Amino acid sequence: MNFRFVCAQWGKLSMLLGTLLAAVGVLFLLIPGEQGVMLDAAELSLLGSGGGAAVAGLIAWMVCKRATLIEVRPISGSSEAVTKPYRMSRRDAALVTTGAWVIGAAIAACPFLMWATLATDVAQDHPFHSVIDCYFEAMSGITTTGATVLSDIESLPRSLLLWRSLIQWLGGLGILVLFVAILPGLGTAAKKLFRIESPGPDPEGVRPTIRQTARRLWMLYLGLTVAQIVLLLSTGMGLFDAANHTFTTLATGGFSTRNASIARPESLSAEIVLIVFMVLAGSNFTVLLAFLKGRWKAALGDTEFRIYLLCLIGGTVFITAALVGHSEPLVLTNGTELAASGGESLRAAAFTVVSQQTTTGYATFDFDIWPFAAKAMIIALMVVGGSAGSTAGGIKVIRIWIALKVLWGELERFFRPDVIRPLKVSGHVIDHEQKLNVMTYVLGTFLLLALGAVIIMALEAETSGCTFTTAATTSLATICTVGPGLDAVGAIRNYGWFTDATKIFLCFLMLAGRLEMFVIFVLFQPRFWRGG
Amino acid sequence: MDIILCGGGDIGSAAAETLTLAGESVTLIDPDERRIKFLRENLDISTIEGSASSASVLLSANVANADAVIATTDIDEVNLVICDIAASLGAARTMARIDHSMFFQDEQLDYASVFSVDRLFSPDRVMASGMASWLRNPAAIAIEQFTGNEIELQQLTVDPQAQAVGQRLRSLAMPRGARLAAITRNGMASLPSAEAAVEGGDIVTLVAERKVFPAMRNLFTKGTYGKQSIAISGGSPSAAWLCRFLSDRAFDIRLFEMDRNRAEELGEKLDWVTVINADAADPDVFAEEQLHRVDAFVSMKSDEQNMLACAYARRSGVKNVMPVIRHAEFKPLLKELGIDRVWNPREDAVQAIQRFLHCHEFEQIDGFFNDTLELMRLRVGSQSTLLGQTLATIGDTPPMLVLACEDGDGTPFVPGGDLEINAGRHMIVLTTTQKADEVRKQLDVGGSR
Repeated sequence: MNFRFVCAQWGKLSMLLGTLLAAVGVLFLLIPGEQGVMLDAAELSLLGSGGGAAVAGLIAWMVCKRATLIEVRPISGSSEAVTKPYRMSRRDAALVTTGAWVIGAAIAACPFLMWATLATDVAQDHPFHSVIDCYFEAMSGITTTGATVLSDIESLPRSLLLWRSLIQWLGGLGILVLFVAILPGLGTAAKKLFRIESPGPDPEGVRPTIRQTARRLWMLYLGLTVAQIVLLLSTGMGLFDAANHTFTTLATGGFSTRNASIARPESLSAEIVLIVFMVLAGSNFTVLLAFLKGRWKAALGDTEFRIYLLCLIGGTVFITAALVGHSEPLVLTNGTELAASGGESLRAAAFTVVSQQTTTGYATFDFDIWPFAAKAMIIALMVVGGSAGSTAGGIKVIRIWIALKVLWGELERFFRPDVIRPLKVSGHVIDHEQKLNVMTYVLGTFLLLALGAVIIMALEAETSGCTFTTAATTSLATICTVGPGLDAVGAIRNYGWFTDATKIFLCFLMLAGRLEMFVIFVLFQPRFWRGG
Repeated sequence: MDIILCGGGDIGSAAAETLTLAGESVTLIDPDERRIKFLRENLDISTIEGSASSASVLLSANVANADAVIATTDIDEVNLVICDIAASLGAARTMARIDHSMFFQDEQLDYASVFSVDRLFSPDRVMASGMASWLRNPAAIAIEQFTGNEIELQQLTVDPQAQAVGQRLRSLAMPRGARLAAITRNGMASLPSAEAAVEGGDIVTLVAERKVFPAMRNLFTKGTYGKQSIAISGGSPSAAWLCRFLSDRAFDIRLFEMDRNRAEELGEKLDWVTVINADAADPDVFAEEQLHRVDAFVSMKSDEQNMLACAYARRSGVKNVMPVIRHAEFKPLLKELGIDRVWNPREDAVQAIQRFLHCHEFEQIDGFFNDTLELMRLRVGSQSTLLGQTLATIGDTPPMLVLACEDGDGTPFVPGGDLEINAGRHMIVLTTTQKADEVRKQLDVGGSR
């Protein structure tokens, strides 16, 4: 382990995020508000936090940058010593990644805390007075979970609201992907970081350099962002709301600028735009790139993409039927009651299924009062999640598919142990190692889900009377980075009521879910720290 | 003809033997000194010890004046390279033995033209295609494939309830590229006229291009057979070819391969096949998989293993057992075991080589008709009195049916009445035994090109 090297990377990251923070502050400073060009508390805290983070990062980098080079000493005295770049080990990469997210969330939390302290018009019991609440909000943002501690979102200054959406947008594609795409001098280390942050079965074989890949992904992400903002504007949404919702849609995050989440947007077309872009954000980006290059056949032939769409359509049909059959009135998240007509049910089902399966977590209707079958389907889709190589969370469609195929294959091996039945996904054979990897991941996720539920229950049962449904869906909604669950964390509730201990634990679950577990848990493996 | 054979293995030596018997002059190249010595002593050929992919070796075999260079080593890539080099050194025609399906199926590249090979041939593929025809047509009495397996000739018994029964032939909607060649009634075979009609119990001889054969066959049989289950023992290249020829819903295939890696490779390539990593001839496995209930048991391992496995399968009650036997000498032994039909890739390979060389100006094909009709493969000579006439104008004088022929670029087809008789054209012709000599004379069979 080369701690100095790791610190130098963290320093660079800190500078990057600090600069962005300050940039948002400057942007709002330059936009004349009602008071004219004036530095208010929110802008000051953005600038201050940004500057602080950048300076701290710079210091860390200055102190540690020598570790990024190693000196190769000559054996005999005749030739001079030369330096070459330090080659990052897997352990360094794991530590850089996990640390980057922990530190990133901390930096992102700073302006919230600073604003609550500086601003005069903030209520005494505002959640942002608490360090833990601020950190939870930031972690929930950067991991694209979208769980919030705030009940009154609309009272937050617009600059902070934008920052809150922006950290989701950054966390969506991955802060290290940004790091890899922008910063030079990483070399092969970039590959390690990229793979750790965006793991999962990768069907694509030959690729250009990792830096080009990262850049292409960012270009696509930016392109989608611009497209969605324009489309939302054309449906009648204001620029500020359009931008914020775009940031959190594409990251499959789910932070909204409104107290009642999306509820009823400006128009049906706005709702359709949101649905379409949530579906896109939950698709594998390499499939989207294939579409853009006109390779329709390859893109449509992708097994995961097909199953993903099938899940979305199947879930929508199922829930529409359940709602129509139930024939109770549907309640919007802002409290309006609507009759459960066919069209209204379809609209409710489609938005909720897409939002929950892509792990975005926007809510239009309060699905907590829906019939049990509909809720069970929503929960199942949350576990499945989006596609690998997307910004979505969950176990991922491809893993579920492989795991089911392995199970099905094992059934045949029960009576025909010598049969050879290779598992193919989109024409590629999944070998034993990959199968084991997938099964381990699925098992690990389920273990963590169960363990998470039990620990939340244990932490909360006495203090807040949390039900098991709440605890279980909280565990699920954080690990799969969805946001809303059922019962006390349902579509019209928030996470503010949890105790501090639970919030810290939830931060851990969200991070574990976003980084797909392994990289977090290796830090608990004693051998990771021993030797070298 | 001067022929250079590269590779003195199974196929090379068998081809050398057959070709020398037919009077050709053969030069055989092989790097193995002992093999060369053995062949030189036992065959009337000239031999060169060395690598056939070396230009100097090929030149010393006088490649520039050779009529054909045939590469038969068991490495595909070596065969391709030999042909490429031979062609650039001036060989008239080249032929390469290819075992790997990649070289046949690749849509990106025509390997034959890249390597200047006039014909690729795969003994395994030819044999597997023959086996597949038998499996597809359980009712057939006899099957023959012509010209690169694209045209098939079959004899089968007409079902009394079949669609064609009682109809005049000219009112029967036969698919394009298909033809009713002969009707055998009460042991008497005859060329059918347009006014004739088939009856239940007749044996009909059908000729059709491969893709329309099932449609043609269904006119004379009751149509579909149920799903057939097939067990294949041994995952040789020919087994893979057989699986490919049978890749549709009509077949449920189990392929047994002992070698784990090979089994996995096959499993990846043939995902419609159930690959099992076990020995089908092992009585425990046989019982566990209930192989006595399969419709066909195909054995594609070594001769000894195939004989044993097929005898066991036959004894266990499998009706259709299909052994691959490389040594023709073992055939009588199999007859004693109750197995009449065996498949021999070596014979198929030699036949493919012979057809490539067009050794046969004329060949009588036996085994289909008794004395009344005669089936022959022939080449039209330049002195033929029928040159320039179409089949329609020739009519019944002399009485003959052209069942198959090749067009300019070697693609085989079943001709209609508008086919024109040209000198040098290769044809499969059916005629009556009485008029056979007259037909041969009028077509100037064996005459100059």
